[in-house]
Amino acid sequence: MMTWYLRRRDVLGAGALGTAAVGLDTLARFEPGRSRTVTVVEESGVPESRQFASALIDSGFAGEVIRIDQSLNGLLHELEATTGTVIGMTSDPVAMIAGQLLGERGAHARQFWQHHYAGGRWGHRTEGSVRLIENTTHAWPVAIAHQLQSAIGSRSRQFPNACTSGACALVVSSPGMLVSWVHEFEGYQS
Amino acid sequence: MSSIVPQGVAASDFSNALDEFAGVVGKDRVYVDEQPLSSYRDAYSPLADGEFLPSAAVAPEGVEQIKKILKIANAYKIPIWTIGTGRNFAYGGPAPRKSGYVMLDLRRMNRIIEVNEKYGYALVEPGVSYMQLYRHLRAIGSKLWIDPAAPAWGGVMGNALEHGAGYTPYGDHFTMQCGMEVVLADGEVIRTGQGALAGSKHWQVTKHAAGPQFDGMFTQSNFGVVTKMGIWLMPEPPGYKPFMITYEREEDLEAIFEITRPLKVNQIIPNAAVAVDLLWEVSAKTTRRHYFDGKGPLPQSIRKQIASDHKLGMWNYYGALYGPPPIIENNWKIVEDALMSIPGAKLYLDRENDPAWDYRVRLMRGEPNMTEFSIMNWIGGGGHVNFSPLLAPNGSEALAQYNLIKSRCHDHGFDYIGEFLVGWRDMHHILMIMYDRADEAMRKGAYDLFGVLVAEAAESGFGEYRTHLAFMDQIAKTYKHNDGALWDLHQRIKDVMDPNGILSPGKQGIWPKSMRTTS
Repeated sequence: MMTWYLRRRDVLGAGALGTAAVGLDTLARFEPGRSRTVTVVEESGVPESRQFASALIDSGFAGEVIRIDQSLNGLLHELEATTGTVIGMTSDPVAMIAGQLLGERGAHARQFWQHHYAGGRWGHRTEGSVRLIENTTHAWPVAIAHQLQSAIGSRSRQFPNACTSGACALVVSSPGMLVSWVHEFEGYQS
Repeated sequence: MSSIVPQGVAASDFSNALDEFAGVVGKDRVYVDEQPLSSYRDAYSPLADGEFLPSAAVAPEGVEQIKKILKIANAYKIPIWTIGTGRNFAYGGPAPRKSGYVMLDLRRMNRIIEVNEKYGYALVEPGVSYMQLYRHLRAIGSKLWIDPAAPAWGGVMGNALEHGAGYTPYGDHFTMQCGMEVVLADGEVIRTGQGALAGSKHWQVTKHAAGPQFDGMFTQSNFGVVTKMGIWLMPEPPGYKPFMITYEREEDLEAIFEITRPLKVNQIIPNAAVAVDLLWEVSAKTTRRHYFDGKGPLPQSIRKQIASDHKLGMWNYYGALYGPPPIIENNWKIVEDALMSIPGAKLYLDRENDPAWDYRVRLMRGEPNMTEFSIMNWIGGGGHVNFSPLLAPNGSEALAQYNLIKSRCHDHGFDYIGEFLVGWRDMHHILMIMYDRADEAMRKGAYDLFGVLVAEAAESGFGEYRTHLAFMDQIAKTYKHNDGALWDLHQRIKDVMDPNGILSPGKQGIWPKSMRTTS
């Protein structure tokens, strides 16, 4: 049984271990199926994307990772061979390109959650519980990673929610508007 | 299955046509369900959701299948919309001009039929992308360059047919095409130029033949389905010197292009030099929200801060020299003396950790990449539509057009984000109107702004070279000379060559007779 692995630097980066850890032990657990291939797309220049991908890799949820540099060329080269579930937290342009390429190959769009920074706060539009995300400060991509893996295979109403923690900043290399998304090829629905 | 049926077509006829299409290409190559059809949407549409949706798609693998598909479409009067790679984003992407059309998807036709190292050309099918051709050339050890449009996934043929531009000396893509194969609406197959001569070995080396040239007729039009096209490729030069010069003031635009014109016309600068405005240039590195959280155009004080932080100018000029090093160095003295004569100009021959510099340098040496999509992060939400008026390489004209367009952008609450590219005797001005797709008011504002720009540009004598689906009719009507005689000619030709109006109805404002009253 895997446990959700919140890495130390994620928590320390948030500067609030107690806040970031709220509710972790109540989160759903994912047990990788033998036939499932999960590939996470990491936009390496985007810190939130790296956090999100690390969470999925460290937890064992994602077995493959595609790292995309600023040229974005890797999307053209490496998405060609993907199967199963493809997941990412990326900038909107990368989400669009990936969605277009995967859709043309027959993948179904499953989840599309949005995260944007405005008025000095991160705001999210997600499915499921909002409480954890509201309080995770800089570790919110880790919380999203976990929440998203729980949501795959079902689709429920989306709720807007905003960061309510004391520390909610936009790092220089973040685009400030991100999308977490899931595409699945037929035969791989959860 | 999609519930959309082509306008004016009975459901039973449509069903029969789909069955017959399946008989040609196989059932698995006729798409009618929501999932495959969703990939034909315009992801960045400036229109509300639910516009420009296809009813079905059919994906042939070759000319013989296309001929049979057209025969069926003629029999049932099914309107079809042709795409090569379907990457014409900012101008409509793969979406059809009207909902209900059947997509004729040529992406399976992606063969690179020939690469000729001796004469420097390739012969390609519609589904070949820039990245595919680039990788193929590298794989076979070719010393030929391609000239990619900014996004690497664009189609070599489609971009040339849309009059697209690149950044090497071969940047005028329609000029660099040589020889087409076209399936007409009645199924007849023609080859242009020397391709019409049986056994010719010169189809891709000369555009000339006895009789009229028809190649241009099949660009930005709906008179046929182009199935093969030759494209000239630039031999790798022995030297390459890219450069960037920043200019401090917006008004410097006038001097920049007064200086550029003789350099370009005399081929001292051989490539499509480009002047990029501050916000386009910086958007590959940061976003608006890092500097300003308010609505409306950025205050001037923040623009100056951005320029200072990123060592940029209000205009950022890219060009490159090519050829034997002694010639480059000789010409560089001329270029440097001329372009650095503007007060405040700063020259860069390299810039570390600068993704904008990196992708421009790659494009000017024919390396395709996808970096330009990153600039959509400036606003976030990805929406963009390009307004693309033409002008002469004339400084005062460029400044006047810039001031007009910037003013209208600001009136509508948008930043000016644009660039000017200089061609052989013209300039393309690309205004990128960016908006958050999730912000309905912003999307509507972008749409309204575009319409105003088309009208005002036309009143000032500026026409667009290319446009989004949603504005094709409006722009067609701005070409008013002699009561719109040119578009009348287009439509007369359309009625003769495609009497059932099956091929891409409404493309560029060219409608078949049966749809002129309802379009």
